[in-house]
Amino acid sequence: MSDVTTLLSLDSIVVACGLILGYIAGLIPGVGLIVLLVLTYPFLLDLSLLQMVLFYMSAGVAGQFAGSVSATILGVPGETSSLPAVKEGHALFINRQGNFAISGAAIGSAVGAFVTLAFVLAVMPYIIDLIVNYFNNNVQLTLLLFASVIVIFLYGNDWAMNTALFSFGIWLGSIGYNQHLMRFTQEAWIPYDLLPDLKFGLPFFPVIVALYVIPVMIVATDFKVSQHFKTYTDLSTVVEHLISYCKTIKQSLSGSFIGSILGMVPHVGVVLSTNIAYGITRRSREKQGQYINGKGDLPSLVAAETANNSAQFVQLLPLILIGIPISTSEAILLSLIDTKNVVINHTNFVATGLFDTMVWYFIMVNFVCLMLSWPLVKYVNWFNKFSMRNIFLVTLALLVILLFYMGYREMSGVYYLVTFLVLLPIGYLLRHTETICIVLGFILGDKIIESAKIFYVIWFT
Amino acid sequence: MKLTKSIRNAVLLGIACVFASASFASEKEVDLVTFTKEGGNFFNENIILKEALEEKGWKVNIVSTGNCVNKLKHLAQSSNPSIVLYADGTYVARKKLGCEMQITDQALVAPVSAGTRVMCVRADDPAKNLVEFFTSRDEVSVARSNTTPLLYVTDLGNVLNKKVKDVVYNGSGNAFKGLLAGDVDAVFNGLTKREAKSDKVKCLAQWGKTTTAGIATVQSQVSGLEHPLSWSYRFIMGANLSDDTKSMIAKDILDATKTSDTLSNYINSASAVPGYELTEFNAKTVLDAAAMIE
Repeated sequence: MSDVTTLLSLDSIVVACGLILGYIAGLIPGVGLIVLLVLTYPFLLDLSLLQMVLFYMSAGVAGQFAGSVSATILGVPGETSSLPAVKEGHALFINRQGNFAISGAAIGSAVGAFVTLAFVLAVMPYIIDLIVNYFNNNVQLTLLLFASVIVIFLYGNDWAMNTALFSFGIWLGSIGYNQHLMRFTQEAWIPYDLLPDLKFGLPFFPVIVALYVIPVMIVATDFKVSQHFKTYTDLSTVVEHLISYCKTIKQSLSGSFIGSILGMVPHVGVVLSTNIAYGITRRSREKQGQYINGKGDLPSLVAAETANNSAQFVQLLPLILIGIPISTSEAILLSLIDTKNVVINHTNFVATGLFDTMVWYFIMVNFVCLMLSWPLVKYVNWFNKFSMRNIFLVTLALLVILLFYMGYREMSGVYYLVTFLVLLPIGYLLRHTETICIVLGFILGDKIIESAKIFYVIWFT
Repeated sequence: MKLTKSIRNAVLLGIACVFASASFASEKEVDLVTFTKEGGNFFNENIILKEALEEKGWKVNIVSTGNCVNKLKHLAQSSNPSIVLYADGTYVARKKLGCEMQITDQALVAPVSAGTRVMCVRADDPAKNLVEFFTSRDEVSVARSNTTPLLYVTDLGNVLNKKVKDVVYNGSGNAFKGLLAGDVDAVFNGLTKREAKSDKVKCLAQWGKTTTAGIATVQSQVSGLEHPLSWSYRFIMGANLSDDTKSMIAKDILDATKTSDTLSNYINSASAVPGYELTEFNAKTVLDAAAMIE
């Protein structure tokens, strides 16, 4: 009995560590789950299979909750999937609605997790076949093309401009050595010998900061906020926050559905589902005349954050059911598991009851993260005591330092900085367009090319 | 005057202690230079190698350079004893980028492991062996990663007189997914636990010398192959290493492939041959393996 108690305690300690570290990592822009796993790698080597998965799960969930906080307050994405939170959450914050932004995102995240969990448990008998068929290249290519079309037509009203922006993003993402074409792209006029860093492509963080984060912040800061607002402490009760969330429940549930479906697209599932859920909700509200650009839209934010957390859970399934990682952080987890000389699959993880244990901890972690968000809800608007201009300048300085530091860790600090400075004027000029299309083109372009090439080889050669 | 003299002596003693401790500490100290993105499989293997060397009393400093161009720049500028975990596939990929390390016997420190390659099909395929599988089809589509050599597959197709459709994926994991999802008929990958232990696939042949992980060799099933053996090597390259340091590291790495829990488990999980068993390993071995990929 004492052995069981000891084991349960150890598992709980691991979950608690994952939760705390994941929350901190999610709050700090540019850190995130991958960096956390790399930093804690030597310590994780001593854990059991279940404990490794529990640490990963709790850190990932907590990181998603925390990522939307830094996006809301500072306008800086804590995770790459919190781009909608940068736009809508930060705008809500500037408009003194930061408390509802955080409570909506937190409740939506928790609801998304539980709804997706219920869905997964309901389809458990068929899930392995579903996952395997989902990986079919025809399915993947269809989803990627569908997502691309949705992005172009969902955001704003100018689909021609969106197409151009999306194409620009694909072009930016194609710079460097292409693994599928097995050659350098655009060799005719990109001087790879003079600028060898370009061989490896443009770094992601400077691209999204220059072309999305800064333009969005500039537009949000331009928005004139009422100066009569004097109250900074959240006076709304928990019930009022719940009612505020319930008004967005339809969007939240649709976000959960989208996250559950798109979350398993390898490598881009979380980003894709977050932005598609956001885009669909925003479009619907624009048509109803309820969306005001720059003011912050709670239903759109909630849809995105719900999709975010749903996708996070669903993304784990291919790994724990058939031993296939579909994201970089999962690949790290698998390499940890490999050192234990055990296999992770349905037989070793689900049939043995470890999955059930993970589910209970998953529910608990989501509740705890929801509780952790509450003090932020009460006091987030205190940050509004500082002028928006000062917050913007501080954030800008923080972003520049961060992106230089991220590059510096790989001896490419100057490269990161130069990339940012070269793209920044473009981001500024495009600030009144939907620059999210550039970012999504940048992320999806490579996947579309790979999938299209495989499609061509399979069907036409 | 006495006080000044005392202070001076104390400072000199302190400096002497620092140098003494530094020279003592640097006896078994090495930089482990990485050149891939943090979080990638290769980066994680570096961390496992670091753990293994630390078990042997080494102080290992991971120097993350992010890419091979920075790695070469760093190695040219640094005077610290440095090692780099490398692979034949990595060498070929970096050669295309123009930033490969020159593989010479002087630069080569020790092998870490040698993995063979396998051809696997979905578990529900009725074929019981490789020949049966190939003869049951007019054409065979085979998935592989962009660093897995094609010539073993075309060699097999030529001998069995079957058209082989080559489907290249970005990474062996994606190639494996392609097989599971029904994109292709078979996958040709390095043998890892994913291939050996999955209940979703069965591996019909491997390109090693003897049956490994219960998988029969290709040469025991098909005769007349030009390339019946296929190995993929992980090894350590060195820079700024004295002969003594190089010998020490080589000895400890080879020993670690046998005795270190983390490293040997990791090697065993891939059903690979550990470094200490690779007695005839040199630069030519690696260059020959790389030539197959090119």
